[in-house]
Amino acid sequence: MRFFTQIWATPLLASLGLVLQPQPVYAYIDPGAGSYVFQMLIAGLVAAGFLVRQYWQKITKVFARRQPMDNGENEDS
Amino acid sequence: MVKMRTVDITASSFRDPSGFVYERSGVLYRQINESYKEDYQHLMESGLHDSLVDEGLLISHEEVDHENLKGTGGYKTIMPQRLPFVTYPYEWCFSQLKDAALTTIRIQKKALEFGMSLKDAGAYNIQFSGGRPIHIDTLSFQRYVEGRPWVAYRQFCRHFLAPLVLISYKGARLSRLSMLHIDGIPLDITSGILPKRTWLAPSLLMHIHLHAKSEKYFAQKKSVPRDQRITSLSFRGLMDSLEVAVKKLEWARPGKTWSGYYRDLHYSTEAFEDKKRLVTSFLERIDPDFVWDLGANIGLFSRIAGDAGAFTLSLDSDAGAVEINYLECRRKGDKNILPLVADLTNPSPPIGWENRERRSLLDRNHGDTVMALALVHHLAIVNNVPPARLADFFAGLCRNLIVEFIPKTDPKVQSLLVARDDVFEDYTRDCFEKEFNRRFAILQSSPLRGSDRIVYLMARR
Repeated sequence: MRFFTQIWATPLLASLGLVLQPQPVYAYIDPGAGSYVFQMLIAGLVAAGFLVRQYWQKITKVFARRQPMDNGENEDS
Repeated sequence: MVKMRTVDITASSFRDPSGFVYERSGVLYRQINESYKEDYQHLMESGLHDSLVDEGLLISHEEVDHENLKGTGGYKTIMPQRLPFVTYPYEWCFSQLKDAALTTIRIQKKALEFGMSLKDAGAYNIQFSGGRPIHIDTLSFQRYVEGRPWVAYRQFCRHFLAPLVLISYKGARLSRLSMLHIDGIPLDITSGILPKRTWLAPSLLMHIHLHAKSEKYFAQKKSVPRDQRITSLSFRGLMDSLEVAVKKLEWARPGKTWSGYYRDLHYSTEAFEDKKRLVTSFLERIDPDFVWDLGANIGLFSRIAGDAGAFTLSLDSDAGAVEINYLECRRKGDKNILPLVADLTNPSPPIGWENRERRSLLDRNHGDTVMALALVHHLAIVNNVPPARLADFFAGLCRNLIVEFIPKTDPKVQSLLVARDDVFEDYTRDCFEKEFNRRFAILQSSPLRGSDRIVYLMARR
């Protein structure tokens, strides 16, 4: 549980931090500006999603490796 | 073309300050400017370039001992590998577009491994070569600086994700929206067209709907924060998120009359086999290098041309048929066939700045041979194109022509005449042959066994 919150806490807080902090340096507006800021807003989310998917793949790999070994034993007996 | 001495700068090449593409005496070159020097060196020395070329993801090039154009800050000249035929994203079927998108992400992920990133993730940077998508802009890579966001994110969403999602949820005909918006389909339009249930898909909610809202919101602001750091983890997470979003998209091809055409033959199997035999023998006689198969449907006859060694452009207006064709080409690893969605009654026009950035379909390099099988009746009867104009059209496209005439007695033509008055007095075999004789010499005309159809081999006068 603690491990899980360690994954989620930082990215979520980072996302909030981006929205709440005052911004000292501003730039000239252009059509890509909204996209630029949006990327910063979702930075935490996509990082979190990425980590979750990585760990999920590792977990499913472990289970996938176990299956053939079990079948082999059953066939022998 | 803008003329500089004897050199022509390609009209689509002005947008990138890193360099430009030009032709000199029919050979294609790319000048790399001083501003791009360090990025280019990193690309070549880090091993990224070789890695991408080895995997068939990036076109190769040769460095050329060449005089740089005067006063343009040139650093180096390269000669990029040339492709047989240029195509544009609004001409691709769903799976071609999806493969192009996934290739872009794959290249971006590999670039990150070598400390680089694509500064340009538009669909025009991808072409099809040997049946597979390949990146053609050697100057798209810049050194990755941790902290900076992906400058090409918006472009990727507009060029790739938006049309894919529109086709997936609303049908293939929307892919032509890309033609109207040369910088990619705007996200607010996409968001507005998509059904409300797409708000429940997390990746679409994020990359299309909220992304669109964010653009709109900040468009009204005078200034915008730009100093936040985006970690390398978030950067990779963004690529991963986009890849997952694209991979999940599917297109359920609607069952259409053309796609079912070959299964639902209006003429006998005997005639169909005879046609295959005739086309094979005609192609052997011509021995073409480059074939345009017009009205190719799922590509059965294109395959004969491709197997004979010709590079074959396999065109049809039915996106479902082109999709089946492309998936089969991909499955077989066919290198000679390029399926493409094209409406011959309204082919791709020239678009972009001065209407010269993207060329019209009919203006690109022509083949030496055109196959027009089970096509002419469709153009003549459904689209009212007289035989005289058809003859001129084909004469403008090729030297060798393999064309099928389907008379009014054929059940397929009869079904077309059911819903319309028969005003087609000049749609007869005699008139057809007379008009085509003006432009072509009829070398051979063979009726199909078990049918009233006739297949011709013609050579332009």
